[in-house]
Amino acid sequence: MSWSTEPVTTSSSEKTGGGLTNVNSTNRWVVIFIGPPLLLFLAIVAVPTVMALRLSFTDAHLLSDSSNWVGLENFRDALGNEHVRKSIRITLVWTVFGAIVPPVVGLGIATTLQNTSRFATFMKSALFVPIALSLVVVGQVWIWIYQPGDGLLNEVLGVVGLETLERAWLADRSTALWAVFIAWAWQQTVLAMILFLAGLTTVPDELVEAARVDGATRFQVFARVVVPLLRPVTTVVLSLIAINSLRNFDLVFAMTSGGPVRETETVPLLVHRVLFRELEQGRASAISMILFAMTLVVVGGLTWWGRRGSYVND
Amino acid sequence: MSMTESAPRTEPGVLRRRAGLIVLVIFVGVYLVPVLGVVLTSLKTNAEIAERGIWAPTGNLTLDNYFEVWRKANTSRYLINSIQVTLPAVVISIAGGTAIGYALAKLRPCGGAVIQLVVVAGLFVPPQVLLVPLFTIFSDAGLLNTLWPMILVHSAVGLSITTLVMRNFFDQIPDTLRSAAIIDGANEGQVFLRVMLPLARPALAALATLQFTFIWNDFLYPLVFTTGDDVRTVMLGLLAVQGQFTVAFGTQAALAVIASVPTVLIFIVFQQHFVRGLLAGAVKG
Repeated sequence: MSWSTEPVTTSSSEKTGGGLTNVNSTNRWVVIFIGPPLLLFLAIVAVPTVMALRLSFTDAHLLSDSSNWVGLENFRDALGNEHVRKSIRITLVWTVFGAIVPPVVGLGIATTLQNTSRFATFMKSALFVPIALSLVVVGQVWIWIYQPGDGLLNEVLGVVGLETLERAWLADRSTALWAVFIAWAWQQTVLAMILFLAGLTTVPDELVEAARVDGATRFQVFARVVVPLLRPVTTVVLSLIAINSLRNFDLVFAMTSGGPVRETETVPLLVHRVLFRELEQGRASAISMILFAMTLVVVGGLTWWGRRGSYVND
Repeated sequence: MSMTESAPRTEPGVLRRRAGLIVLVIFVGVYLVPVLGVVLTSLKTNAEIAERGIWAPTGNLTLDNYFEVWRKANTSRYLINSIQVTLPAVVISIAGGTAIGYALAKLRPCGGAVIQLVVVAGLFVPPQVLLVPLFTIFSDAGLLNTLWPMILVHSAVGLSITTLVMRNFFDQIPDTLRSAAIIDGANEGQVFLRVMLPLARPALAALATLQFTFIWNDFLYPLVFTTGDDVRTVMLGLLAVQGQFTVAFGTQAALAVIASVPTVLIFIVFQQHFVRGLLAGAVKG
């Protein structure tokens, strides 16, 4: 019998299933296994997603029972509105820098820490702690760091003689977004580092040794051997961080609530505002659909990039 | 970097280790100072913080802030609510994803590919898409201001990652294991519970760590679906306390520490599982 090695097609699995039990009983078990969780998923995720799509074509309002079909008007309005465009820009900038800063720093640290002492191993596990922290807690710590009076950043600047740079980092329109971004990158770097550390253990030592014997410098080994081999992990890191960038709500809400003057209002915060302050369900849905589309494009692109390079040669 | 090329073999090793140590020290500073800062702040009196600043490295240490936040804020209620949301949602999302993943991998129903596509696509749906219709649905059902919306949403949303991970896991288990058990007279349910689940323990631990951290730390759904203090989870409670005790940084820090202890502990114990969960979910994505 051959069912153990080959991926079995549906028809042959029915055949083998039929030989052991009967098809009806297998189908009954399929319903028992898949039915309840699938119903839950359809009710809470799939159907509401379709409802949101439908709502995005209407002028639905939280305080009114009826709504009219308005076609693409919400989308036209949204894309023509300066606040919406600004939010989209903020989220895109965030995603681009999010795809660069935490992965690069995380990979750098992971490479440096890779083969260090047992003490380092212990320290590494202590350093993982920020990833277990809620973004509310991360936000609180960083609010204290950026605080105008006794904030850590201003105190450090004072000590090194850069008092002129001191400011209320989160209230200043020119620095607020980057201040929140750095707090976020602080945590995401740990995520990238953890995954790269795991990925580095899969790089075969023989390959690195062989390249060294062939006369490659350490940097060449890193760039030409290690980095290409890390491509699958890199895809994971970039996808996770991209999704986290696009969904970013918690940290911004905890630190600035979108302010000062909507300077840090990411798309998720904008959806929240349109839904709960302006109560316009239709417009909120349309903006959330734009966010959904952005997610699909970014993650789709990353997956394509990851697949394309799954064989190690350029 | 370039000098390593011609130098004797030992020297770059020493340099590298030294560079590693320096990076480590900077990294420890950047990561431990903020974390220890919160812990230290929680142990100082609010009067002392007001006088010397949050980041002053010294002070008389006391547990007063912990007693105060326990007495004056609804802390025990917040914690119980968080537990009541997190535990059921972790169990339901993992049990459901394991059942779907197993059935797709081993029973291979027709239409399985479509089911997997629909469930896993949930990974890419931003929470904001769901919020708009769900708010109306929960409102109509009279479930706003209860814990039910959070339990239901986390249980359902979690199915995407748990199904993906468990499907990949069961794909690696040979079919002969199932057929042998069935020849021995077991039914599908017994095969699943007695043969497959024990094998899946590492994958289940990975998912449990991931899901627990994620659900415990979430505050978007409680923010949207609740208004009363009695149904706040601990993360939302922390946000409320930040507003209520605006300058009492010691009190805020104490609740932040209390709220973080469960995930930090779980993370330290199950670190490897967490990493495996993240990687497993995306390896075949």
